[in-house]
Amino acid sequence: MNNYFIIHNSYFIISIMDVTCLNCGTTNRNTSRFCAKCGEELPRPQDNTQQSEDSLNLPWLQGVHERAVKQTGGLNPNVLAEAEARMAAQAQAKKQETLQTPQAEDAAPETPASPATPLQTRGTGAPDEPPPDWVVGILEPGAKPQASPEQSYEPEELDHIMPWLSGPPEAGIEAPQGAQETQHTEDNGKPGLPPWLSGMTVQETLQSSGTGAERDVPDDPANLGMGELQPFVPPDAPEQVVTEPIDIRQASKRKRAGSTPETVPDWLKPLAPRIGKDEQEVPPLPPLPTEPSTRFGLEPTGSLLAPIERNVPIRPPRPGSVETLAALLHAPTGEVLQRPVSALEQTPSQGALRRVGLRGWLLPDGLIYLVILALLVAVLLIRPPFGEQNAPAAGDVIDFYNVIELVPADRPVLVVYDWDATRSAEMSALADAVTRHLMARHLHFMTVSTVPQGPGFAQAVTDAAKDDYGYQYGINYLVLGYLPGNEAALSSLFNDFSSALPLDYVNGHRLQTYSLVQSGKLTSLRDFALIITLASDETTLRNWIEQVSARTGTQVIAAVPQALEPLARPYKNVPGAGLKAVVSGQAGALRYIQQMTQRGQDATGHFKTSKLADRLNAQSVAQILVALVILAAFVNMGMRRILRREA
Amino acid sequence: MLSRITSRLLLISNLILAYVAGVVTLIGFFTRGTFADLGGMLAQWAVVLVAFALLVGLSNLIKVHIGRVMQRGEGWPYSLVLVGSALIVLAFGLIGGRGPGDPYVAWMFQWIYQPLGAAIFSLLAFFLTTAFFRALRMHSAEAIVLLIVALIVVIAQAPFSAAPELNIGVQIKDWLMDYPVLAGIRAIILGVAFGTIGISLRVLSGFDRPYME
Repeated sequence: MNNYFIIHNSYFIISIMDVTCLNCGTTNRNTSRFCAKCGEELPRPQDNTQQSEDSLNLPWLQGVHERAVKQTGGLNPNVLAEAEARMAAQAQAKKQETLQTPQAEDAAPETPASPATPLQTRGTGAPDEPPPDWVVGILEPGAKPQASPEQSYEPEELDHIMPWLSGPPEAGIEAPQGAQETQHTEDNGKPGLPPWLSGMTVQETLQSSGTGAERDVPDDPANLGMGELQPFVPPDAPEQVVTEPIDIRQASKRKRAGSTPETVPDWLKPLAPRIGKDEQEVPPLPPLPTEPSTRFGLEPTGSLLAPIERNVPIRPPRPGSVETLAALLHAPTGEVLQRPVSALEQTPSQGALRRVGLRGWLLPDGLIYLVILALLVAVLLIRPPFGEQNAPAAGDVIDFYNVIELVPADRPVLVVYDWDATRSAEMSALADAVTRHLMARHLHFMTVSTVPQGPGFAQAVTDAAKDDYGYQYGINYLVLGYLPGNEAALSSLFNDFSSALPLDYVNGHRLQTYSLVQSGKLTSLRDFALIITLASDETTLRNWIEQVSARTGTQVIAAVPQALEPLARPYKNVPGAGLKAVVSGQAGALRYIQQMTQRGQDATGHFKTSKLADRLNAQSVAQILVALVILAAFVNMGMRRILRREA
Repeated sequence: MLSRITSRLLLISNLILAYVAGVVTLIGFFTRGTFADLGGMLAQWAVVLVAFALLVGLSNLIKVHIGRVMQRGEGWPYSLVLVGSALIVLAFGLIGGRGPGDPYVAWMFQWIYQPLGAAIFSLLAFFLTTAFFRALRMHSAEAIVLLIVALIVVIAQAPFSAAPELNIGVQIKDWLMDYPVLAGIRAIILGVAFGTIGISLRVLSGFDRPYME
């Protein structure tokens, strides 16, 4: 944490030089690109770091800067590189400089420097220039600083501007210099230091560029305390949002130019010559998308890209990763990325892609779709005799028929319409056949649904058939409507369905107004002789069997889509009350109608099988087509294997 | 302290309510009389709650889509169609005074909704056919077995397979449906039933409290 404070504050000192707006004359910070007052673009300064170093060529300031860089492991690559290059040359000069410090303090009044006018020191600092008075005050609190002509502040004003200069007077004033050096590591609130400079002294800073600097550098490069670094906001520094592009490659180059030789892992050594070679050929990357970054005098990108040496164990590369990296390095990314790519250039092989897309759509999906469509249209036009069935009805159809035939004439039947529009092709045929059978036997029935769409179908089917058999709504049959709640709904119907469904669906009248209910024979589910479930979902079918049939002992038969038949089979032929028979699909509906016709139920001649035969034609062709596709898949797989073996 | 006592009392009262309702419904399933009547009454309460939940869902649906239309959000024309069709059906049912059984509502249901629903489901044939073709690309034994069985069942269930010449295919299909398929489905149903019993016991004993979430 302390290191970070030092970095920021040393850099803050460097970068506080102002830039005057040419338009309105407002003084802005040199890191600003636009005037804070009028928004005019400010004259672009040179590279901030280089400008700062050139303009503030003060040994004591460089010492602060270099010490900060040293302690953070080289967060600023430029300064670190130059500092290390100068390290050996300045080793002797620093010793002499330390000895000459008292003389420089004596000469300080002749070269006044005030912190209130930092621009005056710009370019005028000589290597042997002594630190300014306020630094001398910090350096030796006991010494009385000499007033400069520009320094016209009263002590109270100075205390207000820089309160840290008037710290506790008794702390450190009388301490000898040697004691200060040992004390600074313990006392962060030292008098005369601003809070952001606590933890170091100027003497220590001056010595840091000499041989004594190495003493403060941590031995372990990984032990930099970087994990503890927190973003630091100077108390009085306004936050500036700089929208400069972050050029990673430039920063990387600077890092490589100024940093010490890196240790290349063994697995990367084969790539090392290529990297150096490609670096000259590959043009620089175009500016990355502008990204606002918040800076407080420190360049974050350089800090992030600078080498941070840690004792990180190097794992061997994953298989193929080195080759991938090499391919990526050889990829011509530079030229392509530099020029703007138009929308047309982004898809240069549009025609080829279109061809590939058409072929990809056709093989195999599109081709199969087209064949299915063509066959279905052909079946509707040609009407092949696939739908005509002359075979005897299966056992399920006969059982279904017999259960309805055995219902007493004086007991009503409950028909459950639990199917939706997606299965209407199959279920409408089955529902029509069942309804006509009930009407042919002159049985009274009621319909109920636990699916929202069920009552609509019930109304449509009964309305279509009632006139053929002379049925009257409310006298011979009722449509009760939809009851939400699944199992709870069935339980509520168990004792008194008139309280759960007080109104009918078709007219919205109370059930007690209809003669079918007025007789008092219908109050609960136990009063029905049979429950016929027309279900397109396994859950609803299971609910009726488990929740109603098991409790009431009422027989249940089901008419379901062909896909649901395997799920209904486990409930069939179970001892006791339960599912007694299942009819499924359009084929089952046709056989059921044929069974009724054979038994003389078609006295009115309203059982029309021609429409159903047409549907079965299309279904037969579709099933043949599916079988052919499966065979084609097997052939395709065999051909691929043969070709692979030959290859 | 008071809040802790209140929350504790709330928890205990919820547990007691759930336990009593569950036990009454369970006993009413096997008996007749008081417990059966109480169970039926609780079931009717549940039905009323579900019906109100449907109303709340409908109002929320309309509110969300009206907001999308007003803000011209993504896909707002579809929202407009949804809100418009819902309001039209509702208006016909209310104006006619016959509710959902109104002839105009029945006409819309029979000639608009039902064909659209059936058309959407008919797309399954196309997807299923291409899925059969792609399944073999996995080159797995399961896919091969699946397709062989599907081939047999598809051919044997076709209407033309009732002819005596194709009787062997029908017999194979019946054997598959009566033994392997039935055994598998019964195993699944029994597993689900045992799992449901376990969950019910946990809820009744208060170990699981889904009604508190």
